[in-house]
Formats: sequence, C-alpha cells, structure tokens
Amino acid sequence: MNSSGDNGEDLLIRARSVLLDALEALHEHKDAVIVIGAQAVYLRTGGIDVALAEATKDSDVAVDPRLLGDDPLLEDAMRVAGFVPSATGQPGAWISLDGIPVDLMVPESFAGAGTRGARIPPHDRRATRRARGLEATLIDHSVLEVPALAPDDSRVTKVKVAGPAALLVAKLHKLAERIGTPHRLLDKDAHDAYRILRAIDTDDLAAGFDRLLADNVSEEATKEAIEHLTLVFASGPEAIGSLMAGRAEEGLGDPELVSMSASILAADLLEAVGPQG
Amino acid sequence: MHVAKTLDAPPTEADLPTIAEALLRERIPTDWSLEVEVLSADRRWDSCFLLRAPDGTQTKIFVHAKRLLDVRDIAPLEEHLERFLEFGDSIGMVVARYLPPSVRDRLAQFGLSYADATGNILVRTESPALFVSDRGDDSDPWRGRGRPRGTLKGEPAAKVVRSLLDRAGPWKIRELVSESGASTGSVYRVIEFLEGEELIKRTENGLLNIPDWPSLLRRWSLDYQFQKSNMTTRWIAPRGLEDLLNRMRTSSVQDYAVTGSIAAAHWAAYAPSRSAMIYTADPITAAGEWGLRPAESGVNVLLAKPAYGVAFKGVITRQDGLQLAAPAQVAVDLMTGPGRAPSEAEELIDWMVRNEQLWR
Repeated sequence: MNSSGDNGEDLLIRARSVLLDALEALHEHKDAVIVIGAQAVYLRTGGIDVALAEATKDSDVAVDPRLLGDDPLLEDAMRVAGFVPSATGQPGAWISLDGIPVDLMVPESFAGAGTRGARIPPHDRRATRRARGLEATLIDHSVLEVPALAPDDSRVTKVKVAGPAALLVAKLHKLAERIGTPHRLLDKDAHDAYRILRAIDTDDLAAGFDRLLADNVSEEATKEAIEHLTLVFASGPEAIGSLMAGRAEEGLGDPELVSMSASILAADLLEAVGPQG
Repeated sequence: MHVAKTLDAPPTEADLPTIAEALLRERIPTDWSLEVEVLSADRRWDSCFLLRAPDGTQTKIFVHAKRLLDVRDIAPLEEHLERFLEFGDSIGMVVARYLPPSVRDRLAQFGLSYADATGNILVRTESPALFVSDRGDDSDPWRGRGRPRGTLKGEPAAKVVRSLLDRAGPWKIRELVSESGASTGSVYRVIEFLEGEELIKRTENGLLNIPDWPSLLRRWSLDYQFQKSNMTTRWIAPRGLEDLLNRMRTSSVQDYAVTGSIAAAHWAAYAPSRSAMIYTADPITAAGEWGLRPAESGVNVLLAKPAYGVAFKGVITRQDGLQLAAPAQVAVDLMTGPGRAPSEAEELIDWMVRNEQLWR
C-alpha cells in the first residue's frame, strides 16, 4: 500500500496513531501495559539537538503479567481493534491494517516456560513474546500523557511509559544479544541509547539504576545491563555500541563526536552507579 | 646540489636545513667532512650537522629553521638556542629564506651562525676552528613586488584595528592612541602600514578615515587567526552545544566570550552550529566548570586563551546572560575558522554592512 516512500516524519506520525489504537484496544488492561522502545525513548528525551531525526514505525509495549487480568484476552482485544498477527509468525508481533507493527512483550522472568511466546494463560501463547531485560520497565515507569501527532487526531492517552534507566537497560540487552551479528539496523538502537545518555542527567540516570538494583524484580537484568554498558559503550569510542551510535549519524551529523560522547557519558554513568556486588 | 637561489618558488621552512647544508658543504675545506645527523623526535631542532676536521676534532651544529626573521626575534631566539645547547662543543645556527642586512648584523652581534637561501652565510666554530662567510642577496627575491613591508601581527596592531573597526571615524591620532591603549609609536606604525595598504585615508585636516572597514577586517584576518594567533585547545561537550551554553550561563566562570558561529547567530543566523569557538582566560578551569573533556577526534569545542586582551573588548551579554565577543572579533575569527566558518563570516559581514548603526 503506502508503506514505501514514506519520510521518517510521516512514519513517526502514523506509528504514534497506531500506538494509541493499540493502547485503546488494551484499555481494560491499562495498569499492566507500559510503553517501551523507541517511542518511549522519544517521549523521555524529546528536544535534544541530535542530527538523527526521531523515526520509528515500531510500537513496543511491555505487559506486566502480575497486573494483567483475564478479560478480555489479549488476542481478542487486538483483533477487535483491527490488528492481525504478523505474517512473520513471530509471537507478540501484531500489525495494524495499514501495516504498522505493534509488539507486545513480556519480561523473560515473568514469561513462564517456553522459548518465544510468553506463557501467561489464559492469554494465547502467541499473543505476546518473551524478551530479556524488560524487567526494569516493570519497576521504572511513570504515567505520561501521550498525544497523537497527526494534525487531525486530537487524542491524548494517559499511559505508563518506561523511565530512562529502564529504557537504557532494555536497549543494552537488545544490543548485547545481537552484537554477535551486528547489523546496520541495530545502529539506531545504539543511537537511542546515546540519546538517553545525552538527554538525561548522569546523576538522575544513576539514581534510576540504583533503584533498579535495589528491587528483586529488576536487579538481575540491571546488573547484566551494567556489564553490557561497560563492554558496548564505556570502553571507548571504538567500542561496538559507541561506533554504531556514531555510524547512525553518518552523512547527517558527526559520527566521531557521537562515538566519543557516547563512550564518555557511559563511563560517567558507570562511575556514578558505582561498583556492583 | 643547487642552492635555492636558482629556484623560482620560495623555499619552505622544511627545505631550509638542506639548503644550509649545501651552502656549508660547498665552503668547507675539501678534507673536512659534514654529515647530517638523524634527530629522532627532537622537535627543538630542525636538523643537526656533524662537522669533522682532518685531525678528528668535531663539532655539532644544531639548526633552527625559520621562514622569515625580524630583528626583534633575535634576542628570544638566542635565549632559546642557549637553553638547548647542552654541550660546549656544539653551536646553534639559524636558517631562513632571506635574512635582511639588519638581521644578519644583529645575529653576528649575538655570535650566532646563520645562513639564508639566497646564499648569505656566516658560520663560526671554535673547535675545530672554522670561519665561513659569504654574501647572497640584499633584498628578498621572493617578496612580492611593490608590496609594502610590515604586517598586522601582534597585539598593538590588534588593538588599533579593533578600535578602528568598532567605532566609525574620523579619528584623531591622539584619540586612537587613548582608545586603543597601544603605545603612540606602535599606533603610528600601524597607521603608516594601513595608509600604505590604502586602508586608511587622511582627511584634509589630518584626521584618519576608514573608507572600507570590511577590507580592513579582511586584511587583519591575514595576520590574526583564531587558531594560530591564540593558544587553542580541543574539547568535547558530550551533551552537545545547547547543554554547554546552559552550563556556561550558570557557571562561575566570568572571563569568557563566545565567538564563531554561535555568536554570529545572534546577529545573522546561518545554520545550526556544530562547533563552539570560545575565548577564555583560563581554559583548564573553564573546561572543568563546563563539563568539557579533552579530545583529539570528534571535537565540538575550541577553547582559545586569547593572545591579546582585545578578544574580550566590547563583550556583549545576550539576553539570556551568555557573553559574546564583539561583532568585529567574531567576524575575523570566522574568516579563518574551520569548516563553513568562512561563509558564516560573509553572512555576518553582510549583516554588519546593512546594520552598521547597530554595532559601530
């Protein structure tokens, strides 16, 4: 349909509308729903002067099984709102009528047995997908008003949005998991991590990490994320994550500056968080 | 080998040691030897010759190459050479593209050996004893014809030029002396130079007029350059320039002035600034206060410790409290700045021409 030839801005506007559609569909479960991913990163870091425009077509939503009711079933709610399972067959991957993806994800440690789909009965095992590192989003989040971006769409939804520390923890897990097969598509994830490091004051971010470390739910994932941060960013501008964040600005901004800044800010954060037991 | 005298293009500083070697080799007795020693990583010298007499005595000649040399450069140079000549059996030698007679006389007075690329040479060693003296040209063959001597280098010129740029004339010389803060003698020298360049015109009653201030600014930029004239250091503001400017506004560092494209944008916005050029009296303290990190790559901030106080003259405080260098200073800094700074300079000058009453 009209999924090719979009510029980033149009895509961002459409993705936001679809996110709001999904949140409406999941309204009965709104206490259990947390916006994560690139959209959450932009909501938390909006307005910083980086060369790479905000652009994503994905909406990522975490589901907290501890707060999730039985009714309606997630798969029914999504279908009623016009979403269909993605043709990829990937559990938790839903597609809007105009082809914009929405991913429903459950933190690994709350996803039950299984390898891909989360086992959170009575919901279908294909309704959500398990993912490592999302535990932090269950702890670090706050309610934000999320507005539509299209001029003819006046919707504003109040919803839990993951906090910067949790978003960084999640990004670090995503990067570390796939670092063995570094793909250019991951560059944007590394740049999102840099966005968080740049927009959020180091002390605030460190305080967020400290809270995550103090909670049983998120402690493990956060410890791992700190190890990833060391390896992927803080070890220098040549570290893979620093390089990827810089590469995302190739031809637009200043890759070297981004790589240097990302590693400096990551090292600052590590220092502020302090040694981990 | 041929001496540079036969060359058309002026020799570069890097050519000079080789030229000196050739001049000297042609003039020592045939049973003496001259070898060039390899100087590893020693930046104090441009070359070193080992001169050996038939009886086995030898001396080292440490060579300092400088494209041009003024009389006033000699005393500090002699000090420099003295300091680094560690051994009694070595001498220092100055090599230049061309050494005018006044400079050669002064070098001889200081007991310094020298050579220039036109063939002027004087080398004196004690052990082994050698005296080589020869004459080359008495005028610089590479200096453009009809181009007057002198430059706008140095603090007095900066003071006078900034005064002439910042306030429209006509000027009495006395006013210019007091306004610029330069000595009477140096004000006269700068005026004489600018008259020679036709950048100053005298009115019938002897007042000084600047008929074309943008040309004066351009001429100054040949001799005053943000990165060359001042001691600059390179830094990263890891959270970007907006964050840096916020920190600057609220920090305790007072003696600074933002120049370059950020300052220019106050008058003539051009494009978002990608790097900051900032004068500050104490770069290390300022960098600490402002959260800057030293860097060689990915640099987005240049800090300059101003060579001359005029960089801070006429500092303007923006509405939000940020201190900006005066427009003329910003313009000259951009003219020789990195990246697209020169075209930003043109935008700013264009604004300055159209809005002269607002700044001059």
